[in-house]
Amino acid sequence: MDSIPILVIIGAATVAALYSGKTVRKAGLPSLLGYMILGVIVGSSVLSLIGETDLVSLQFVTEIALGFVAFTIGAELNFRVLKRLGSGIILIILAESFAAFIIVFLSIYLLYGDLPLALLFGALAPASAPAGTVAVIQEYKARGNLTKALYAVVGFDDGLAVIIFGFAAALSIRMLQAETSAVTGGLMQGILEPLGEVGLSLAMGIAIGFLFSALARRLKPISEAPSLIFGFIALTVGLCQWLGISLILTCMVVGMVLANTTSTASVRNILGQLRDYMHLLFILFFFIAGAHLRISALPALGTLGIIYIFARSGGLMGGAWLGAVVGRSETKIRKYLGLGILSQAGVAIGLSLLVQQFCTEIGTRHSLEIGAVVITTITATSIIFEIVGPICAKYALSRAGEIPAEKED
Amino acid sequence: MNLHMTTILLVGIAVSLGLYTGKLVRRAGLPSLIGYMLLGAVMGSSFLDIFSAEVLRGLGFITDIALGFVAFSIGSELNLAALRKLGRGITTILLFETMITFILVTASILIITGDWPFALIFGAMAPATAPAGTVAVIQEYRAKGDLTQALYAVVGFDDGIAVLIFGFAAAVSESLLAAETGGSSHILRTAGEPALEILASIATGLVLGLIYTKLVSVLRSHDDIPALTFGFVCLSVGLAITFGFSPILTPMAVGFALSNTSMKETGIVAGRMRSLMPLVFVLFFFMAGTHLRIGSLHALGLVGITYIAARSLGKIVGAGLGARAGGASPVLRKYLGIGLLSQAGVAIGLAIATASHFGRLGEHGAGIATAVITTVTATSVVFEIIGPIMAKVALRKAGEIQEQA
Repeated sequence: MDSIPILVIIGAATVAALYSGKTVRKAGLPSLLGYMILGVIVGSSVLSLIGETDLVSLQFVTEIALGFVAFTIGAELNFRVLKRLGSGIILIILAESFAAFIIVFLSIYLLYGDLPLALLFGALAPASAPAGTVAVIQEYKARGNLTKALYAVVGFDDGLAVIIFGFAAALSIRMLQAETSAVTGGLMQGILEPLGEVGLSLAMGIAIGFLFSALARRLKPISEAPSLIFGFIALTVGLCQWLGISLILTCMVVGMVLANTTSTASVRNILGQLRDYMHLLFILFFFIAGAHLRISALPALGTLGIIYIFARSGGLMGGAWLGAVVGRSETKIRKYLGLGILSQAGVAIGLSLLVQQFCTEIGTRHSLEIGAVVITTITATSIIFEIVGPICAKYALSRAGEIPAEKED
Repeated sequence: MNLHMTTILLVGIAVSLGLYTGKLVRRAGLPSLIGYMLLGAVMGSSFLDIFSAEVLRGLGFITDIALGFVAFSIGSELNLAALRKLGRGITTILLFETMITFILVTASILIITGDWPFALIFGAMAPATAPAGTVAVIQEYRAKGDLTQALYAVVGFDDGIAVLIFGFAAAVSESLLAAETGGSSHILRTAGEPALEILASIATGLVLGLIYTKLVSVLRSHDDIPALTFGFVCLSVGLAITFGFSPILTPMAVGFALSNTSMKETGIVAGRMRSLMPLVFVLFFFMAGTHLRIGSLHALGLVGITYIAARSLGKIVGAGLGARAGGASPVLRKYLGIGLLSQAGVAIGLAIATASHFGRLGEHGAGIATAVITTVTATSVVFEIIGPIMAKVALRKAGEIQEQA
């Protein structure tokens, strides 16, 4: 069958998603679930109206959207806000990431006794997906300390996740290689590489951020702000892909530099110009995410997947709680922050693809098995986390009293 | 390194640099879009060749969507009540400027080549005006007034007439060629198609537009407007491309349905879309620039120069005579034609359609096909640059550009 032209699909999807989002919202759920469900129906899982090639060419919408999300996160984080949140926020980020890693690692290791397998799953667990949480915050116009803390955590923990993954994956690969007694590359490399990656992200983000902020402050007329932001985000995202570094961390740093070098009023002004288009980007982003979801992967969940889901959720929530207690953060952050960071999506799937690639290269029976298990389990659990994550985030925000009462509806 | 990766990087460079080349050019008193286009030409196939043909093809949809937005915004400016204030003039102007341009170009090419099918094809391509350049200039300088209103109407509607004229003239030219090779001709069939195409474009656009307007009017939150508008513009452009309708007339009809059913919603939509249009224009003209083949200027030749002179004269004189005959105001009489010189996508599209068709009509047909493609490409380089500059001159002389603070 001749596939439907991509513009017709995009156009019809945008309109239909807008309304399926409204329907879902009436049921008290975040709109993005409606966009995603429509994507699932139109995409490969049910109707198969979008071909693989179309999904590949839509990839760049996803990446730019993720860049905008990360940029928005950064723009919310000026040092005054971070100082108000206190050292607690650093402890929370460290605790939730490491707790997720350790608990997932331990539970899988204890149950299966497979050290490299447990390490890899542990390594994937801290990676959170910022888009779901940010979309919920913006949809409900949430405001308050929990909101700020969520921005900070979903933004920064991407950097930590890259480091943990790099380190644990390197360790695990070394073990698998040792089984064939063909060890290549030192362990040190496994530690230094991710550190270098994060360092490069930060440096590039700062450099681009300063250039961007200088231009944005002088921009006249302000109606050109969306063009300038679009240009710089595309530039940053493109450079990150080219260099193979985290686009989330880099774009976030660009936003942070803006927030910290420019008066709050003009940051508001610049971001205000952007708000309308974020909504459109979220629709496209979650629609495409839905089209990528393979519901048929759900049966592959198995015991391992269920353990992973519980251990990861427990690790993230427990870790966030522990970090908040030790850092003496306020009660609502202690209680609800962990609930707001459960999303897992593209980043984790991307990393699991990387794992599979390594495992195929090693080529032993054990490594091939691990590669296959990792990719199917992460794909299947992402379906759960992508749906549960935003719902929990909304619940957390509304319990914390940070969602203002709606005027109508 | 994947293809789409380089694409994002290049798009990023294009937009951020384009914005500033635009500002630079503007300082020299020229419309910003010339700057976007120049950057595109430098980065495109003419000089640095950073954008490969493959990357450009992958980005083609950006141009389609951008042109859709331009057409939509034209349609949403065309309120019938406001047009009626301009008088019957508009219809007369449209008929005069397109027909006179057609006749003048056909006649002059016929005089220098003595080749009827050849001259007819060139004449047929001449009336098409590229709306994006004129609209970008109007929006950049926030022009307001009768001339502005008339320009919106003329650049919008003359696409329809241009397609009609092209359809008939191409059919005649084809049957002349077919007669040479002894084949049969189907003048009626080929001539009927464009009329049908226009009706279908307008009907599709109006239906979509009515649905769109209804949805906009019941929206609770205006925050949904950009998403809804984007969706309908994509949908109308996509459907137009799929079914071979006009990708200008269809989204224009969507905007037209909006502006003629609800003044209030039209204002709200325009307000919400204002900050998107600069981005649309940067992308659109940058892409247009990458396609410009400065090298093809050599191929201009006698035919090309004659075409440029005759087309410009036809537009200016035709619009002037039309305004006089229709009793339009002196401002329109004097300056309207100057604002209509842009020629781009539509003409090139028509040229490509001709080439693929005529290439199969014997040696003579193939010769015409090549000449048409090279000449239209070369003259478009000239018109795409002169067109917006002249549009700005026209608006300024008519006093419709507010002085800058």
